[in-house]
Amino acid sequence: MTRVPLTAGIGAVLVAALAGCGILPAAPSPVPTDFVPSPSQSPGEMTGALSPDGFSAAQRMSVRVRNIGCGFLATGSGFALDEHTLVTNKHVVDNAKNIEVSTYDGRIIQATAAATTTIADIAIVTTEEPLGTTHAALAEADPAEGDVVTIVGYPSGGRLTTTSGVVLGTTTDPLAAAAGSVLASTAVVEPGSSGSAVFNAAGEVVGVVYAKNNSDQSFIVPISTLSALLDEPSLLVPDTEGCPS
Amino acid sequence: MTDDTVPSTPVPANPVPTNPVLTNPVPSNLVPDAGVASAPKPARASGKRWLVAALVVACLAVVGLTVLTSYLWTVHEQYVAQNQELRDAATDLGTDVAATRAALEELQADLDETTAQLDVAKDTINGLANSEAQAGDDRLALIDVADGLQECAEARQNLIDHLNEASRWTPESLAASERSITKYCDRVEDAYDEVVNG
Repeated sequence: MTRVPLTAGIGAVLVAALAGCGILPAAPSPVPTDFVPSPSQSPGEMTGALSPDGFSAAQRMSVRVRNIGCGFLATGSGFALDEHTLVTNKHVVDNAKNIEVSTYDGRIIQATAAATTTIADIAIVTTEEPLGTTHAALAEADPAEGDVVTIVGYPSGGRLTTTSGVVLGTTTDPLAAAAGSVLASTAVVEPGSSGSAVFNAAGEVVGVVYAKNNSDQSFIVPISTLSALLDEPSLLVPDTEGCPS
Repeated sequence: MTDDTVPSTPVPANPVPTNPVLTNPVPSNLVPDAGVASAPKPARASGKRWLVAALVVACLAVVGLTVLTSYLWTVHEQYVAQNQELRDAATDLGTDVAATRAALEELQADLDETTAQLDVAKDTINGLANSEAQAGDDRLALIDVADGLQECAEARQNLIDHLNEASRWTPESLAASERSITKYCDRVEDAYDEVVNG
C-alpha cells in the first residue's frame, strides 16, 4: 500500500515537469535571409507617366489637314487610323487640288488619295509617307449621355489643342446631311477642329467632330457610324481631285 | 443451614452443552495482529520510504531545475544574439533607406526639372510646328495671290492689246472687259492685303 503514493508522487512530479515544458519559450527561429521585397510601382506605370517626347498618344495621332483648293485654302483636323491612313471630315477635303497633312512634330506629308461617303461627314485619306507610330484605338460603343470626352485638334488652323466636354446625347444632324443620328457635346470647338478625334476616358476614339452651333455645342459623328463605314468599304467613294468646272 | 428451595441436585437453568461449539475458533497458526502486538516496527519503515521518496523527488526537482535553467539560459543567449543581429540588420537597412531616400529626393528634383524642361520643349515643338504650318499656309496663299496677280497682269495686257485695236471692238464690250478685269484684280489685291496684313 505505500508504493502506490510514492510512484504517484514521482509520476506527478514528472507530469508536472513535462507539462511545464509546454509553457517554456521556444528558441528563436532563424532570421530569414531570402526575403525579397516586392518592387514598388515603376514611374513609367504611374498615372500621368511621361511619354517618350512629352506628347500624349492622342496628340501624337492627331494631324492638321490642309486643303489646297481651287482658289482657296482650308484647314481641318484628323487622326491616324494606321500608318498610312487618317480620318477627317468630308467637308475638310472637298474640292481639293492637293491635300497636305502636318503631324504634331511639324512633319509635312502629302496625301495620295481621299475617299468620302454620303451617309456621314467622314473622309478617309491615305498617305505615302507614314504618319507615325501612334494610331487610334476605336471604342466598341458610342459614348453615353454624361460621359466626359476629350477633343484633340487644330482649332482655327492654329496650335494643337486639347479641350474637354460632356456628351449631351444623340440628336439629328443639324446640317441635315448625315443619314443617322449624331452626338452633341459641350466641348468647345472652332472652325479647323473639324475632323478632330473625340476620346473617352480610356483614350479610345468614340467619334469625330464635324460641326458646331451658336451655343458652342459641338456635333460628333459617333464611332458606330465610323466603324460601319470602315467595315463596309463600298460605302466610301474615291474623291476625284480637281477644281469644279 | 439448609434451604428447602435448593434442590439437592441442582439443575442449571441454562444447561451447558456437553460438547460445546466455539463460535469464534482461533486457528493455531494465526499471526498476531501487528496493530496490536507489533505496531512500532512498521511505522519506522514507512517513514523511511517517504524519506526516500522525498529525496528522489528532490533530486528529480534539482535535476529538472538545472535542465530548465540551462535551457532558459541557452534560449536567452540565442534571443540576445538574434536581437543583436536584427539590430545590426535594422541599422544597416535604416542607413540604406536613408541613402535611398536622399537619392530618391535628388532624382525627384531632377525629374521635376526634366518634366518642366520637357513641357517647355513640348510647347516649343508645338509652336514651331504651328509656325511651320502657318508659314506653309502663307506660302500657298502667296502663291495663289501671285498666280492671281499674274493673271491680272495678263488680262490687263490683253485689254491693252484690245485697246490698241479699239476700232475692232465695240466700246461697250471694251468697257465691260475693263470692268471685269478691274473687279478681278481688285479681289486679287484684297487677297494680297489679307495675306500680307493678316
